Amino acid sequence: MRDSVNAIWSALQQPPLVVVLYDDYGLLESAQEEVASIANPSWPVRRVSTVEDALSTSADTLALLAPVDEVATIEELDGGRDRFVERAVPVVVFLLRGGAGERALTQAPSLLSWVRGNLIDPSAQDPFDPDAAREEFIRHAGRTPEEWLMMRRRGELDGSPESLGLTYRALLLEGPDDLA
Amino acid sequence: MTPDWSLLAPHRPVDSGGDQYVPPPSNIGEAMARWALASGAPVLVGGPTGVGKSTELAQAAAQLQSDRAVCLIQLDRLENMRRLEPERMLSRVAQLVGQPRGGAGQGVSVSDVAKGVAALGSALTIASAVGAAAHVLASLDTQLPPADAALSSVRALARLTGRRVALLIDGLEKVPDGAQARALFDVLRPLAEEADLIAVAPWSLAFGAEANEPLVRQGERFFFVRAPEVEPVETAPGLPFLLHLLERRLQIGDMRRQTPAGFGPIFRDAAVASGGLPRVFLQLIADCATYARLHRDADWPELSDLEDAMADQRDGMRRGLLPKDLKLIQWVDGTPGLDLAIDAKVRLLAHGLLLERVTPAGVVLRPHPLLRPLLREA
Repeated sequence: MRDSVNAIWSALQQPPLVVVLYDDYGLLESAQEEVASIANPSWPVRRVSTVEDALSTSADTLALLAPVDEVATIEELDGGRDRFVERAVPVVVFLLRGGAGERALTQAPSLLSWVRGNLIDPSAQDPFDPDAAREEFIRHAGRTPEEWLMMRRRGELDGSPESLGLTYRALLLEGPDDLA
Repeated sequence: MTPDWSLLAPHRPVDSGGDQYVPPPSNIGEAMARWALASGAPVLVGGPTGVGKSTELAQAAAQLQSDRAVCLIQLDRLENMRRLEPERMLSRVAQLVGQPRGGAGQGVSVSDVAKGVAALGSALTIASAVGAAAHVLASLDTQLPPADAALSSVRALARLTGRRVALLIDGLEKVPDGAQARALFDVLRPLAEEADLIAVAPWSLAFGAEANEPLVRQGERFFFVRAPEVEPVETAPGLPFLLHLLERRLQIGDMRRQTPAGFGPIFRDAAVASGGLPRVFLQLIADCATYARLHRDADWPELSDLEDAMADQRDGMRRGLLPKDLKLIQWVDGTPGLDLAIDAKVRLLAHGLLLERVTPAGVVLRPHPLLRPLLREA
């Protein structure tokens, strides 16, 4: 199963550089938090906005680079990627999906050749397929989301974390009212 | 046994003289060194990203060590090559030729100078050689213009060691196209008269519209590092090379005997999918090993892990494509690509999206194997 969480975790094991795309500026913060939460908890985390700041972090620090000027950052990383070769923990560069920085990557062969396997686009890697998600839920819970919610409303479920998690997923997958 | 997959380090070129070096079928590093020794003419080297240019340059440095005072200058570990100005580059050359080793393998150390002198049986003692090498540093304090400081450092090193200097400059393929790249090579010309110059060159200058003009001077030789053939798997020279590379990086004596039976097909598929590019191959193996750990907490990958790793690489490769690239690639597949616009050809070759393959009929262009599913969709 290849999803964005797996892909981020895998990429974080492969320093020195990782690129994560995000959908809009409002999601940048949560994208950074998601990466930090997936990373090895023993890694110190630093948020930076320039390549120079990223270079100044120690090699065993997870540097989350959210550039102010994405194009300049891509050009600088393309011209000086080897300055990061000694890193034990990667620098993660956040780029707006479809933005100028991502477009600049097509003109940055040196950088792109380094990040090819470490370029994470959660929106492309996690397409939501409701039918597959329902099937997965039924396989896991042994009943449909609607049946699960009915049991919940009747107080037949315990308060375990797994039960609460399934209830949350069932709420997201619940069909129209007339099916419930 | 459980391999330490982190040793694969796909982004790290092998250091000069390092025991992890595996000669590629083309043996370019040795060929470059031989050419430089025989002719004294500048040597330029190019090839797609990830093919091993830096590794071959480091190997050439190791090969030259016994005959030359060798300075391997990895500019791209020190500078943003996109903004590198000629004077800055010359200052770096001057500094690194005269300076003790800085930890990243740049330059030649004072002790190297001393050893070199001793090995040559010079009248200088090691102590005096060290003292003399300090004069190289001192010459940098005279506020010479960078071009003169670089020239002076090279001459001083040659004088102190009694050897001709070999200057190997890595990273110049990353400078932007056009005038800036040309200007950087222009200022290297006087140094190429004093020393053997071996430098990685930008594709645009080696193959672009100005390819007929010498980059440094007449007589220079361009070496092209091609990805070794990986198909057909039974006979392609790339497979034994990549297997040996994997053994050296993982520090495993014999992969065939020391790995589970299921790893054979994974190695073969990864080798073919890499197109023979060592960095892509190592990245695929490293990624699929990571997925094995992630998915099953397993020490060895399965084919499904490799498929995930290939999908990651393919996604990244897709980012390097411009809207009409897939059609262009289909159009020139199997041809020498003579009708392809030069800028598109240079870009696609530099990215490794098109690979040059030697056939009985001559050199033809082939799409990178990871692009095949995208080409079928197109």
